[in-house]
Amino acid sequence: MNRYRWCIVALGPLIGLAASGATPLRAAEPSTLVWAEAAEPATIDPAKVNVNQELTVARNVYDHLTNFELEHPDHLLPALALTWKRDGTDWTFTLRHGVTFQHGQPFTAADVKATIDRDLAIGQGQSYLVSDIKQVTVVDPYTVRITTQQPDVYLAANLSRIEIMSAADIAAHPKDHGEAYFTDHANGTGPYSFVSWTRGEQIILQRNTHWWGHFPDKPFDRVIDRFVTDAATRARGLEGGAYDLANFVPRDEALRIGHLPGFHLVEGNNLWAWPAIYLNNTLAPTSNIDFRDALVKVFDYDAMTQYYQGSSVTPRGPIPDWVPGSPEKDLAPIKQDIAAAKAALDKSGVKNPVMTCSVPSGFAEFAFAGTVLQASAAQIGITVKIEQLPFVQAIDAIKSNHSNCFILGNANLSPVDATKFLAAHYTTGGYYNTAHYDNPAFDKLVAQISSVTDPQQRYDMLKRASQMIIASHSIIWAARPKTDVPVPNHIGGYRIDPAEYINVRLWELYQK
Amino acid sequence: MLGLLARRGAWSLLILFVVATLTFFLSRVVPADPAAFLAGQNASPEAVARIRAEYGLDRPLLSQYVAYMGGLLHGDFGRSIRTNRPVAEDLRAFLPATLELLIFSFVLYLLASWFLAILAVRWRGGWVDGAIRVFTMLGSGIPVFWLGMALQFVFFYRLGWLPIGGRFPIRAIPPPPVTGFLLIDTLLAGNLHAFGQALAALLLPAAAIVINLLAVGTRMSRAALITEYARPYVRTARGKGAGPGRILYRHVLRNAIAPVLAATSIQFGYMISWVILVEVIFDWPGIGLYAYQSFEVFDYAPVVALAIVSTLVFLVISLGLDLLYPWLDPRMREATS
Amino acid sequence: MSGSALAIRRARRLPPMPPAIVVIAWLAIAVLLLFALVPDWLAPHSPIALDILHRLQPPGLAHPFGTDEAGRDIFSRVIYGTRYSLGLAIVIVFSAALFGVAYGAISGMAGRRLDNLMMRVVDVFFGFPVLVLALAVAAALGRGLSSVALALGVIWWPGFARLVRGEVQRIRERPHVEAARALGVRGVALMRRHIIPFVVQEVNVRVTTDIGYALVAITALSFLGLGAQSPTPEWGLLIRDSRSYFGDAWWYLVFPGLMVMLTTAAFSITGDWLARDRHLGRGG
Repeated sequence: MNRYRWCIVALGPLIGLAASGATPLRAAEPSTLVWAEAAEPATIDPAKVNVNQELTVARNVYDHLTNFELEHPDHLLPALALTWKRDGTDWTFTLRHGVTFQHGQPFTAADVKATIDRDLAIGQGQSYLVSDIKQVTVVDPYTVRITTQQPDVYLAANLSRIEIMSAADIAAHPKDHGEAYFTDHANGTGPYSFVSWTRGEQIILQRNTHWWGHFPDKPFDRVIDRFVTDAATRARGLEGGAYDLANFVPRDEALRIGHLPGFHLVEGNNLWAWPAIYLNNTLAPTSNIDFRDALVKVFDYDAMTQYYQGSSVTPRGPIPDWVPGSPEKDLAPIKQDIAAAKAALDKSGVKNPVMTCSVPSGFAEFAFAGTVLQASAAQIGITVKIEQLPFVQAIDAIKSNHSNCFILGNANLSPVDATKFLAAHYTTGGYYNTAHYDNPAFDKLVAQISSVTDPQQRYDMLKRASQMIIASHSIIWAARPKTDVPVPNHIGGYRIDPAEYINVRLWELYQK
Repeated sequence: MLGLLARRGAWSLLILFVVATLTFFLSRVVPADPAAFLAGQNASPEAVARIRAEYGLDRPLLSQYVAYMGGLLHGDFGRSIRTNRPVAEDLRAFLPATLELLIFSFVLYLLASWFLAILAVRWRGGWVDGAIRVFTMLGSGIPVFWLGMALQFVFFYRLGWLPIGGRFPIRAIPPPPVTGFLLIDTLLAGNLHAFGQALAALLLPAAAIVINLLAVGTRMSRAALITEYARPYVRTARGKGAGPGRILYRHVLRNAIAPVLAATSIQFGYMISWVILVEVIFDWPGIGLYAYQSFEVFDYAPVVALAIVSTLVFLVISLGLDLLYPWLDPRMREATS
Repeated sequence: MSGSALAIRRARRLPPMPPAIVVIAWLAIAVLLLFALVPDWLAPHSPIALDILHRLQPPGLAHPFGTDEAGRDIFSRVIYGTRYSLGLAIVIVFSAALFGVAYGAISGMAGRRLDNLMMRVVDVFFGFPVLVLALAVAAALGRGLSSVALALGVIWWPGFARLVRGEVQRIRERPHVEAARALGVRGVALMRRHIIPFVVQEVNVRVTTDIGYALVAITALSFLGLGAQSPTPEWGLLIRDSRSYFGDAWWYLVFPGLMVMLTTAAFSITGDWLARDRHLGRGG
């Protein structure tokens, strides 16, 4: 056997090194948290951040003027602003003293003005939440006045989503509003500071020990925001301990992992996991309102409820009952009714209908809603072709009118203002208005709501707006589940933010 | 020799030109607007128009093509919409990871196929020979992504021996980048433990690639060995009293490797194709994953760049193998000198 | 052929494959062809009807391969999927073979310059990474099995062209071809009667083995979402869909994968069997 000995001599040390390199799965330094993100951000510029993975960095590195209670989103909390009051179109905020940016500059009213001016000038990202702002005035270093076009009762709440940057940074990068610089540089007043970004791999954040806010005992000193694009890998890595927390774990996997020893489930309200099927109003056969009516009535809502294993209800309209001011309880339930669906199909006069549906891939829940639509529609002779595409390609297919239907989870980033959600999803020109729903009366109604001071009147208006969308049969609200996130038992403090994609508030987490 | 190099070089350039042109036009037939993606939700029409102009997307296709090819001459692969950076810069960041995985897999493939071939020839016609054949054949039928998941499941999830993905342990600090190849950088940093960590991360993705190709590799090597063993010089050497080990390593192996190596460039081509799948599964931050994610958001430039770069890598490797062939084969070396 | 040359050729033969295995492979292929041709006779359940109450059931008597997230019978889906996965593989390899043989034969018979040019064209396709081509085709024509067929077809024919050209160049030096040429047989007739018959055997072997590899490639593209679309029960798509449920339902991932592996193996074994003594019949 001596002829093979050289192989062993050569390979032995290599195998030994590899074995020594196969590190134990959980790290020796427990104060590091690994968060498995579903994708790499394109930017961390607060004026442009838009999607979940970009918000992770922005939300934790920067602070906001206000904050809110997750359990009662209409109860605002102080953050960089201590008090605020509205007088007609003017909001006045008094600011916190003694706050400094991570790079050392003190925080003042000039920072608020520079930030909002920049957001509005760029006109991307979350600027739609504050697009009503006409002018920002520095009254004194710790008082800022914000003037809106029309009275806006929701402005203080919506500012809980606007990250405040440093005026000095903005002034230092005047070219193109510093878009190139802020794409991968960050300097906020928030609980974590930005350390590094290794492209294709991870972003590292470090705890800001000078933060004005309050950390729990044993917080995480270092956070690794790891980009793990494959959902199954995220689930497996969370379960195996390679990641401490993971975003968008497929639902069945999340429930199973959450029930394993060493894990628990955190349940909460969140719009994202809620699949809604948008029916294109401008492409045959879904351009026919009776045909859409047939689809809404034939859909098997019970199949969705069974899929969610009891943690889901069938929605009655666009605004969940847990959103402050929701008219949901006054709306009629929506149920499957095959006979009525057949009648609607007959009335529509569409013969041998075939329709295509573009579904964003990577989310098992959306794919399942598509499967249910396909099987339900087949019962009355409608053929539904499904095309699973990456998100951008799927939404492009329906926006360019190449597809009859689109399935989307929802997001309302404002804690109280449902009109921003309605505007994005149902008004003409709204980015997510993939049903191509076009109703000037609806647009006008939604635009007025935020200027109405009487809550009862706002309630009635929201109800009327909801009824308009329901009557157009443009949307199949397939299910409204609770969101369940599996969390390892060594991590405490995880909560689900209802006014967010499913995400993480790093400053609330601690080691157990 | 120089003439051959010049001819091959010129031909390679032409191939690259064709590949670049083909992928450029194919990827731009899409009726989609990447600028709308880049601007994001609720962006004003002016913002979208500004971005379109910035990326030259408002110009006619042919003028975009001319500009792109002109840029290529200067090593400019255009700008990625997704990462907001020049593609060339991204390639510099991501290419070493892919090359390291490819080269490591290739070496592993050569070692494993020759090792199995030697075993098969040693017990030719016996059950070892048969078993190797059956296992490599089954291996060639396993889809590479399925195998990758199975390996993850066993070696990460069940046994906990190897990492689930990535090039380096998540929580560890990688060595200062010099070459971008972690196996080399860790050694340059004098950190053997880190070298082992990088090696451990390479094992599963490389195995997923290699197992698929072993059937062909082992078969070729086995045939070459048998051919060499039947040559008269082996009998002569045996007559002179050389032991089996000496005959194998001094004579047979050296002569058998050259012809097989020349046929290996095709296998390398397959590896390049599979690498995207492996990078997706193992979260390997290479150009495959980079281009695939870009493709998902209509970001064309990285896809075209991937086509050009992988064709280039293939051409360089096959040229290298062709040049290596006469140098490795003692008979040809004698003939030329 | 000298004695030692014959010995080498014999020795090169593949290790013996027990006849039983070959027969099993044939049976497997026969069953697969039945699956593809008459799935509705063989599948116990509908491949698309939902049964949410019985979702993610483990393998058992009612569902030999278990059920998926919508309660569909995976065994039935695999049977129906054969038509798409294997059927498409066969179509791709056959069309690639037809084109590749014609191309290779012309190149092999042509003069040096034309041959050189034709082979350089082949080189372009050899270097082209198939996944990138598939991405580009999917971007241009949309996702679906037809895009997959196009991308793989374009990638597949050069292998046949190169193989056939080599064979043709070898065979055309043989005495019987020289004799036919001396008798004035030229062009298509020479090719059809005196060359192609000798190439066919090699091509048959290659076609058989390649069907398995094409199948693997199709499932890979479907896995990336470029190929079949729901609810087509294509095997690669089944594997893709199964990933979100792997922890709950291993069977959902494992059985479609095993089908790919065993199908490929069956075709490889048959290909080897076809090739069993071609080395003896050649040369001289």
